[in-house]
Amino acid sequence: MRKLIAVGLTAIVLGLTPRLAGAQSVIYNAYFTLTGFKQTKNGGVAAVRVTNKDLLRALNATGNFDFASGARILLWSTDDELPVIVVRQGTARHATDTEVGDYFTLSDSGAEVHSANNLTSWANWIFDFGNGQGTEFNLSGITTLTRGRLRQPGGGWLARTAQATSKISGPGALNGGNCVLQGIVYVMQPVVVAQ
Amino acid sequence: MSVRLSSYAISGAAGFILIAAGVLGHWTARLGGAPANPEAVPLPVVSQYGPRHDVIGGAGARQLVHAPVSTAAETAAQPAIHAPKAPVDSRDPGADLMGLAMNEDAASLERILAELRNPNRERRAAALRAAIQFGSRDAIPQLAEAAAAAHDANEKAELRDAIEFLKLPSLSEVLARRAPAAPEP
Repeated sequence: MRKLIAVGLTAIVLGLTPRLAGAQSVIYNAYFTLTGFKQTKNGGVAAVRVTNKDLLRALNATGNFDFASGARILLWSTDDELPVIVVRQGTARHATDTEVGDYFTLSDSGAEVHSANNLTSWANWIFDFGNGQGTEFNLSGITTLTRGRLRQPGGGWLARTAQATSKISGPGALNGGNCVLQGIVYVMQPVVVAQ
Repeated sequence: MSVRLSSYAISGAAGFILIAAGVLGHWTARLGGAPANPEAVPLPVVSQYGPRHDVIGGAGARQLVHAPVSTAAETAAQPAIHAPKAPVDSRDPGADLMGLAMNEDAASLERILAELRNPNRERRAAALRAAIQFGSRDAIPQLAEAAAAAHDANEKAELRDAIEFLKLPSLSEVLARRAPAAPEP
């Protein structure tokens, strides 16, 4: 009987563990897939694709970074707040994270709505990029955030945004010329970071 | 004897109740039913992302949000606008492929493209996203093969969109063409 009671207590403790979880940071990989449309000199339109590698090279063009192949763009959210953008090089065990907030930021318009069960939210995110070398954009659009269970490093679970998809568009400049851009940003692969 | 038996009975009942409570807590958590369980933690009243937001809706506010206009390929590639009834599984079946996509070597691209033939739909979708991020036109022939073999119209459209996307010059290519030539030593 004691064994039975012990098993019962263990079950309750396990059930409570996630509820007792404190504030944590969560990092996500962000993947940009953008198309830019630019007026050409002869009156035509030229399209350009922009993905993570292009953004990393554009950051390198500032002269302040030297991101190599394999670098990742991360969104780092602390205490469930709006994430900041960082670039990670190396592996998870030997990673170097670099803040790029002087050139690449994420903000929101302030409005946010939630589904009745609070598992999905919708917000308006704004990605602002500018490397001072002719590549810049200010893209905004509806972002769908889906909540899920994230495994914590020390065990237990954390209820946080598990993935987000941002459909964005707006003005910018590519190679110094004005353009408009549109595309999608996938925010996925959340990892809870031990404080 | 009867005292001992009743003692056993009470202990047994207590153990049963404790296990039932634990199991119930676990399953209500999985189903997202009770607000106190960890997987159905309500979003903060003020905001999920900081105190400065204006919450313009609560329960039922989703009626104010309309699905944005999107192509069939985009619709298939992103979560539905409707709220899920249970928390999503945060594990990404394509995390390894997206990691490969950040590399530049041909072996990484081959591993990504091989997954276009995976029987799992999510895995194929992840491979497609990874191929786009990898950004090489060398992927186009295999994407075209996959498009031809795809039975699902949405998947076919996604693959064709990806091909058209990869045909475009990348920003890096445009900048490299315009970059001034290095001075002769």
